[in-house]
Amino acid sequence: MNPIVSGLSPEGFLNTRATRRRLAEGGGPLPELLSGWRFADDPIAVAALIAALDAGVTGNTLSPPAHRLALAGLPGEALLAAPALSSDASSARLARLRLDAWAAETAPEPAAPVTPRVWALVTLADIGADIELEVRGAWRQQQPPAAADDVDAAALWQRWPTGGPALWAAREPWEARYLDAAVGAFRQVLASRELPPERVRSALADLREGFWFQLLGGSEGAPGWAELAARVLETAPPGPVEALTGSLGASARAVAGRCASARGYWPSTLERLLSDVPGRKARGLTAAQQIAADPARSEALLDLHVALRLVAGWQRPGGSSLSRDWQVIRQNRGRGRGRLRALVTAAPEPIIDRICGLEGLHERTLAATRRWAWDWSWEAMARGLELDFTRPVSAPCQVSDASLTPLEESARPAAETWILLVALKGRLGHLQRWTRAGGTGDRDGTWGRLLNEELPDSLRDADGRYHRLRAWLAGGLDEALAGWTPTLSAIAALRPGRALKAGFHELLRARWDDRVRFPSAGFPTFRRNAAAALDELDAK
Amino acid sequence: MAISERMDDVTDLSLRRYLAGALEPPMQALVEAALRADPVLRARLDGLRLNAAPHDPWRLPPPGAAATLGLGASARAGAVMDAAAADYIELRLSVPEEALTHQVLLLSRAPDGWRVIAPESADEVFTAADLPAEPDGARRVDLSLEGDAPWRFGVVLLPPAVAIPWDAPPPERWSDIQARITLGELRVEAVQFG
Repeated sequence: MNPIVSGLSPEGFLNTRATRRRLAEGGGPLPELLSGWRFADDPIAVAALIAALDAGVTGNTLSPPAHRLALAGLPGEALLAAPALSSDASSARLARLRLDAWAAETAPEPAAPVTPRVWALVTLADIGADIELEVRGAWRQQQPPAAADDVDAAALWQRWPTGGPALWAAREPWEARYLDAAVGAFRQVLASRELPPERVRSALADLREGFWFQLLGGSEGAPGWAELAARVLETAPPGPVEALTGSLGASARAVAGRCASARGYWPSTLERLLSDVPGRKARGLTAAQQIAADPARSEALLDLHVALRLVAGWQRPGGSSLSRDWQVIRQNRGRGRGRLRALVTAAPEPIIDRICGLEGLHERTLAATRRWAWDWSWEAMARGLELDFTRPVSAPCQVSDASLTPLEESARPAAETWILLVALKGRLGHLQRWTRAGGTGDRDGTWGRLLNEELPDSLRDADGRYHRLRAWLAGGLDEALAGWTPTLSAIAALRPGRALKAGFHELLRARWDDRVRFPSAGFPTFRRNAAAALDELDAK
Repeated sequence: MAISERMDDVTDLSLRRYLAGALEPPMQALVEAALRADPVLRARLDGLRLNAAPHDPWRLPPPGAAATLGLGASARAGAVMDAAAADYIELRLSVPEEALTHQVLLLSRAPDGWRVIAPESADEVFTAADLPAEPDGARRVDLSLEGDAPWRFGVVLLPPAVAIPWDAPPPERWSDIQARITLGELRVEAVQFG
């Protein structure tokens, strides 16, 4: 039989699985069970996670799908026959995804069922190990050094902060090295949308002409070269989160702490971890101090946040899936890195020296250009392929008002339902732009009605504005959308025709928060928009 | 059906992103592992590959991006109020005094790239000072509109020291000017209309 993971035989894979199950059933030691997570040696963080998990067990809200429970309860020998273990794959995570898909299809009967708590602990252990090995491990892969290319790349990078004729002299060599990387990303995005050939040609011509000017930057926010530098920096050892955090100055760290105390689901993470620190703002400050004392702490905090979001997701109606778990991981880690990149980008000059010392700088710059251009192309798509060179590709880190009270926990189901309604009405792009910029750049009537007529009063500020909602969306939108992904898939898969409305009701009635008006018409459009929203989410 | 087809994680869009080299390292590793294990996925990947794209050697700035280079241009419908019905536009060039002696190069962007529309030969060369002056001092060029909107035009000013080698065939004829534009040495601006 082929090995399933480099250096790990199927037997090794199954032994690890059995060990984790034994530890979970025996109650620990938890640091050993959760050793992949960077907070595993922090007893307070581990206790915060277990408390969240046990609250779900006690409240009977932790209800993994039957096939996931069954899979956890299957003896190792039964898995040896599964296609995931009988075919070659060099990733434990891939093997787990395939096992999950196999179990969903074959619905195996477990000989020794496990409890939801044991399932959750084993799953957390698996995911923690996979994050360490296959997420952080992938970022740690060394870029191949190419001495001459790297020296040239460093010389070019050093011109960016200087401006003037010396910078313009770098245009040709810079474009010779990196423009095609950006064009390649744009072309694939454009091809995915099956646009008319003349529009593609025109957009690519715009890109070729505008690439340099996007890097130069416009009147708003950070210049493109600073965004790109941050993306190169995040490839530096020991990993993106620590590399970025370690480059933050004191004030930027304070901003990071303040954001964490007010945005998305982070306030509840800090409340669980720092329950002895009274006050939301003080908890943000404490988190900033912890990061200042040890940049590695940022990875531990992010890991804890991700683990808590997974546990919260497993308690949502509609169940969970391993793919959705990885969406939550990707989005929370991606969002955290994006926030840190935005902070680094605000004062980019010091990081140029740092990135110029990196081995494999040319390859890192190429890879960063491709990722940056991919995001840029989706931004452009959202604007009808208008390339706007006056603004950066990434949202600037907008610090919310320190006195802002975060959206209450009780308001969030209504917010999540409203987000789904926005997606079904085909205005996800508007919501994303509004979250980012406070406006949508058009006078779209549907969006206006969603905001003015469909948004429940409980989601508005006391003065009727939207500061709290936008602050929450800034950190929580991606995860809320990830939570709706299975629902959107189910809506997209509904059969058109007479039964569509009934199918829609059946899917959504139980999960719909009544503070948001349940739609009474437009179901064929909702179905199409659900498919489009899934596409859009997939792109991120 | 291969398992990968039932996994949400490896979609066509993630394969496209893989081909563009734009995946983040963890997803890159996952897609590579999935590709190694799954011939069906490899076939899907092959179907998404794109042919090489042609290059346009002209690097005019996007409209509005090069206003700092000193040339202003604007477009409006000539003689009629309805832009869609216009058959020509007026370009208004805010040419600095010291650049009035510069030769003017007018370009139009076609689907396959930029092409020089004036001058077409050494006999047709003209300077900014040769263009009609508006009451506000701007210099005006009337251009006819061909094809479908949007139309994009470019204006390049060539200092006296920069000569166009008219004897050279078109690709070589423009290469020095193209290089100078890329280096930001020339006053250049593009404008879009429609």
